[in-house]
Amino acid sequence: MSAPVVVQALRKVFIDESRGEVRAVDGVDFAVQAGEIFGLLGANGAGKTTTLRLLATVLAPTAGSAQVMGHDLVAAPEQVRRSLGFYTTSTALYPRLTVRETLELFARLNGIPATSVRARIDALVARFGMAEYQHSRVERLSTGMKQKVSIARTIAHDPPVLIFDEPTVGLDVLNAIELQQVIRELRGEGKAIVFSTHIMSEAEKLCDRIAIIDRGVILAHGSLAELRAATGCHYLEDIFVHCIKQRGGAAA
Amino acid sequence: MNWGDIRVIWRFELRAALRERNIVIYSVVLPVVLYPLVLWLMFTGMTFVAGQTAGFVSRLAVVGDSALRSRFERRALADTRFELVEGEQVASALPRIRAGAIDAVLEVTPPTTAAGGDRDFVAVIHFDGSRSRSDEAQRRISLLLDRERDRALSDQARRRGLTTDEWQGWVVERRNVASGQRMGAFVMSLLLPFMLVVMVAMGCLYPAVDATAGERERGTWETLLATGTSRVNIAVGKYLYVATLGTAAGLLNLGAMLLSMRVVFAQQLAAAGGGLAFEFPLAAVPVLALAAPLVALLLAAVMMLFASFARTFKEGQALVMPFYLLLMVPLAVLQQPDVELTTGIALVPVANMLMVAREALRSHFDLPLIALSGAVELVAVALCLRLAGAVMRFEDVQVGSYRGHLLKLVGQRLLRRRARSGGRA
Repeated sequence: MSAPVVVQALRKVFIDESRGEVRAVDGVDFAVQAGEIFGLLGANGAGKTTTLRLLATVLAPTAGSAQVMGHDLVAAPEQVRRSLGFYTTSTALYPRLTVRETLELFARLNGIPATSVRARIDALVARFGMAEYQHSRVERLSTGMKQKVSIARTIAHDPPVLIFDEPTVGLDVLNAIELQQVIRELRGEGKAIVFSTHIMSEAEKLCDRIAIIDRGVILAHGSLAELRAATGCHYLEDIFVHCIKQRGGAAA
Repeated sequence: MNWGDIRVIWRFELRAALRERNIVIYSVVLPVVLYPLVLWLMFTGMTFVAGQTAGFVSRLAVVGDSALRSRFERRALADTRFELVEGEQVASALPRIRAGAIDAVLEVTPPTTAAGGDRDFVAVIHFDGSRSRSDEAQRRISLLLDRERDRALSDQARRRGLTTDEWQGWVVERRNVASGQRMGAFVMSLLLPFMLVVMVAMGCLYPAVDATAGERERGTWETLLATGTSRVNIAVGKYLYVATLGTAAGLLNLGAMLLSMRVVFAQQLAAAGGGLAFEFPLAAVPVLALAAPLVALLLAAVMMLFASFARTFKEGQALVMPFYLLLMVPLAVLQQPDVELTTGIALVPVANMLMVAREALRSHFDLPLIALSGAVELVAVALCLRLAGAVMRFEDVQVGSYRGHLLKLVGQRLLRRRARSGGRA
């Protein structure tokens, strides 16, 4: 059986009025297994977010292919989206809807039938301890509460694949740790998780396998042990710098 | 298209919108309360001002022939609404009228022909038409002169052993054959269709900006794009939500205006001596119920097209507002009472619906022209949706990274591409 996420030679080229052709993603390959957290580690502008947006079909690829749960990004974008949950710090919630309404909206739009929605929302409210404020409007919630609602709406339709794009950016330490714990739990439930970050310690703690990405190209990927063995460096930060320097040297 | 998803988006958009203060104010509160209230206040204000003017004492100077002067001074003194200003001459009085020290001067002189005798005279009323108080004085003097003429005619008739009517010879009477109901329909047909279109536009404006630019500003656009429904479903759900609020605003305003006309205006007009009856022709109901959503569908499409290029609510408003103001120009032109629904007007979207509504309120139904107007409106809606489809195919427009507006994109990409493909063909 093929992996839940398979990416092959994926490319995305933007035409920028001032810079001309920009290769944001330039031939990326990877696969993510069920029950695995796959980390995309790169500096700002490395192509992490574009890769994840391509996977979530928010953007269309220029070339290459990818399948999510066997559905092709280009041929079946709606099935792809129904198979995944997409979470980023930049994706916000509807301030004027209540918590329950928010969950209902995303569950329905992701294919949960009307008859099952109520039970699903009850389960999510119980799982994330949102009973007290389930009828409150999102605009009245604290940052931590909103974060819980955001995660709940991401998994409202219980997707087998989850995409987290720099999810802890802007969160305080306690909220970031809580979120990391939720992501671990989701891995334990067998979800295939694609996780992007530029925080080395986070990738080190959380990811089963890590891909180091720079200017749209994956420079190295594997488990931390494999990366250590390949580069001869111990810390992920050193591994990252080693890969970047090596690419710079190769280019020179 | 998945109508289940479209319904979900429509329902949630509507629910969220009805919790947004600005949308509720512009789409519900203003149509229902403000405009009828403004009209009522205007009418009450006008009645109040008219009452104030009627309460003024007119400062009158009578000049000219001494016998005639003393005769009219006596008449004026008998009327408490006049206050006599003595010792004036025409030359010195005119600047005083302009300065507001006197309201009017009545200049009375004997006739220049021999036919008159002591029964006839020439009267000139000097007044300042730019001052309501002076204008009111002129009106009162005219009535005083009319009464004087009637009195003279009665005296002459009595001396000749005739009745006044026999001596007068002929009488002119003006009779308006239009019933109060017909006059009311005329007034309604001028006011209500115009307000219907204005309020539909107002009702569409905020939701159109909120559903596009507002969504981007809040950061919910990408969240929505990443759901398992298609972009078409999202666009259609939002479009129908905007059109629903536009239609609701138009029809709510229509109902509120009609109610205020019947309950408030009609009573005030009756008290002021007017005889208008605001009866709503039932046959107009289906026509108006069709016109409002058709206009809303078109305006919602155009406004969303403009607003979808904005990244913030303010930007969205700035992009849509010129269209809103431009829309008012043909509507204002069509406010001429004698304009009728013709084939030419039926071919102009929005204007045709205004005229269809106007004719319906006058109980005039030209079915071929109504059908033509409806068809033109639907074609315009279809063209707008086609343009929206073409515009939304551009990924940078979809995700909000395109730097420009609708007209720029059409010129830069759609027209040039067509010209290029035309060149190759």
